[in-house]
Amino acid sequence: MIKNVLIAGVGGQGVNALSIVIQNACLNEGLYCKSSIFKGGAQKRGAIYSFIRIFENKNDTVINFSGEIGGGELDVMISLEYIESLRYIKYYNRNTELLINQNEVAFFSKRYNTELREINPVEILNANYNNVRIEDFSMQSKDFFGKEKMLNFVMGFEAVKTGLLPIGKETFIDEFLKKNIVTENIKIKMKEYVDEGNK
Amino acid sequence: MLSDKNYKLLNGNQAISQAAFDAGVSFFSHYPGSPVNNIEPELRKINTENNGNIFFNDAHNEHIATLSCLGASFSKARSLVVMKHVGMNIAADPLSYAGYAGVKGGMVIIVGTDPGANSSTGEQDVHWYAKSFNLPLFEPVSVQEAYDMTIDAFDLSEKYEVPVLIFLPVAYSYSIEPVVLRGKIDIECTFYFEKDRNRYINVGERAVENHKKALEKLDLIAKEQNYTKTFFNPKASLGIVTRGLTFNHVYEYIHEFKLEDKVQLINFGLVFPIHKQVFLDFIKNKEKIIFIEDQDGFLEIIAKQEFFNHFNCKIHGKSIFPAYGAISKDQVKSFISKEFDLPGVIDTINAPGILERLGTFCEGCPHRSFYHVIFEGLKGYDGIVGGDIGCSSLPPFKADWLLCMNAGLGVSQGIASVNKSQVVISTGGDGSFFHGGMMSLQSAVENNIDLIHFVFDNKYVAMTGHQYSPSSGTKFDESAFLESIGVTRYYVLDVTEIQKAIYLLKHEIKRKGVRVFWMKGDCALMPNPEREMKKKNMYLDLQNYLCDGCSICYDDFACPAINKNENDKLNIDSELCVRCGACRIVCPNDAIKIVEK
Repeated sequence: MIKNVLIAGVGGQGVNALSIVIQNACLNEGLYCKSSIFKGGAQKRGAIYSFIRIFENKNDTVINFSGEIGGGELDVMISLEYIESLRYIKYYNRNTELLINQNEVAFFSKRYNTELREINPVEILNANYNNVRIEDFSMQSKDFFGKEKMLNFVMGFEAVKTGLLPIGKETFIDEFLKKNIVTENIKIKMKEYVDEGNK
Repeated sequence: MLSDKNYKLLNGNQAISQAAFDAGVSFFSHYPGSPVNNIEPELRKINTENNGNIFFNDAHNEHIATLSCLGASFSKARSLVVMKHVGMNIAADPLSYAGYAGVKGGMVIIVGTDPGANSSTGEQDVHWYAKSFNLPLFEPVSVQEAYDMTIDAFDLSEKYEVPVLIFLPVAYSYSIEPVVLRGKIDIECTFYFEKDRNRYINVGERAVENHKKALEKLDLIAKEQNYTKTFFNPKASLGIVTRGLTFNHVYEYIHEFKLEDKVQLINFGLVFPIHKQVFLDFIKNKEKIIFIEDQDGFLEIIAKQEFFNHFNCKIHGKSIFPAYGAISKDQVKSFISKEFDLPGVIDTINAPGILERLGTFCEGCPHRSFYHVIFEGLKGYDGIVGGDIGCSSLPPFKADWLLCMNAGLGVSQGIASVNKSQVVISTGGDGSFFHGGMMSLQSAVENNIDLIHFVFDNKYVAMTGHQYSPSSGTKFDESAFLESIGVTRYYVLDVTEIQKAIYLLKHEIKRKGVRVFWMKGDCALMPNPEREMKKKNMYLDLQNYLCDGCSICYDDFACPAINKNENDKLNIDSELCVRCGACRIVCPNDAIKIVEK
């Protein structure tokens, strides 16, 4: 089994951290995993994405496989930003599972925003792909945790909960807590969030 | 199941740091540059956690870093020097002698390469330096190999008494894999420089003799060191040759398309010198050989040069794959599918053109006002502005040129000397100033050139991860330095003194000679208790009824904390805003108010 996962967003949203959490969780579940992060040249708020390739086990064949995902070979897309979900369309196929945050992070000039307003991701994605889920996960993060900084947890957990990623909820949370320093209050909130999600 | 329990999840930078520590490195030097900028902090961390005794030398540039490592390895210490691909141009002078002189302690040179220019201003192919400098070159195909090859490179360096290069492309620098570790090697050695003038003074006949010895060493390495790996059918008439990243793409698609019987694949881990016998065995029964590699086609050209009278088959490489950009997985798949008449890359819909998210200063960066200062000062003049590498280059396309380290100050000297009709202003951070800008500035003073230079001093080499800069410490005194080299017109200002800086710039534009503005403001990403306190106690409110939409704060400053809503009204995101207040200073309508919590 191979599962190809792409996590996209902009710098500062926690793409890198989420990617490492998922990779560690996979390894703890006994799976073999490679990931690559692409940060680009922009220091802040640049496009950032990560490939995660999950294999059933480590063997002499898969260790030689590429860390890159080929065109049309993506299984799961987790986009922490709305417009960024369209940047990686070349990796999608009709059955790619798309989990998209509807919240948009602004570009840095009037001109860009004017041009971007003509693009409607919901329309494009729904017209071309079978498994599209678009929600304002930023708002969910703000509503539940009081801040948007937990967006990567909210979306990662959603992917785990709905079976898009082959890892257990407990493993994901354990790894998230190992990677991220969170307050006791946030830890309690995370437990409440998980309990609510389990209902 | 992952059976290796002794693994660590590492990226390429971390793997090399771990390997250097495990190999018993005693001396480290570098000049930071992506994609290998994290080796230094990772190695420091490992050294501290394990009570190691590595000496860290934060060099001002790659030339100094290389020379200092040569010195350590002349004295029998294992040394590691790290730089990015274009840094090799700066280190080229010492590296050109390194092969002649050789080393006693192992010396490994890590070079971050960037096919595709993901984090660089160019994608220069630096493989040619290996041949030019007579130095062996490794190129890993996984993070595990990056770890293993680094350790092996120290052994090889000591065995043949020659520094060894390892190239790490962006893809492996940031790839993360479980890496099986070998454990720390204990090396007992007395560091001592044994005099050997025939070896270390390369003049005249000695240089020629040592050049000959360097070539003999390479011949020996080519016979004795086999880092090639061959896969699939040795009897196949088609042979594919790879190095680096393309290996993984090719291997995967041969496997996926079940072409194992039809192809033999060879990958070179030791890219220079090529293992002769293994390669001759590989080409023996081939009807066609395809070289699939990034950039100029180093392997293809070297192989054609060395084995031209051994080939009895068609050879392709750069006739199929481009010499620019990184070779993608899709390019490899397209080639293989065409070659074997198989389905190619899956057709996808035409994606709408999504604009590049260009850089900007971080929220709270005190230097975000500098282009505003320069453009205000230049109003009424025909002015041109030189940019430099580093954070100061982040606002896109504001400078008129951006080439390499110190190009702002360097290029402006030529322009200012011949062109008196334009006002020439150059810019750069403290990192690039110490890298080579200080010599450039002194040269401008000595040559009586009329230019204005801005140093944006944020106390660190910030863009690559806050490595040390002389302005991080207390030893460097910019006023004393500027005076000592003969700069008489200079201003040391806090970068938030925006109006004062504009006033002084307007004044100085009318003057002659070298004029320097040394603008100080700490990097916003470093801890700042004063700002943390402000964040707790107040926030900034942009009052739309006072805003006339001049857009200085939004367009000119491009602060990530300032957003525009659907009705083109601006607002400040309090979660992102660090309360630096730069937007308040420049707002002509006083529309940004402090609100106490």
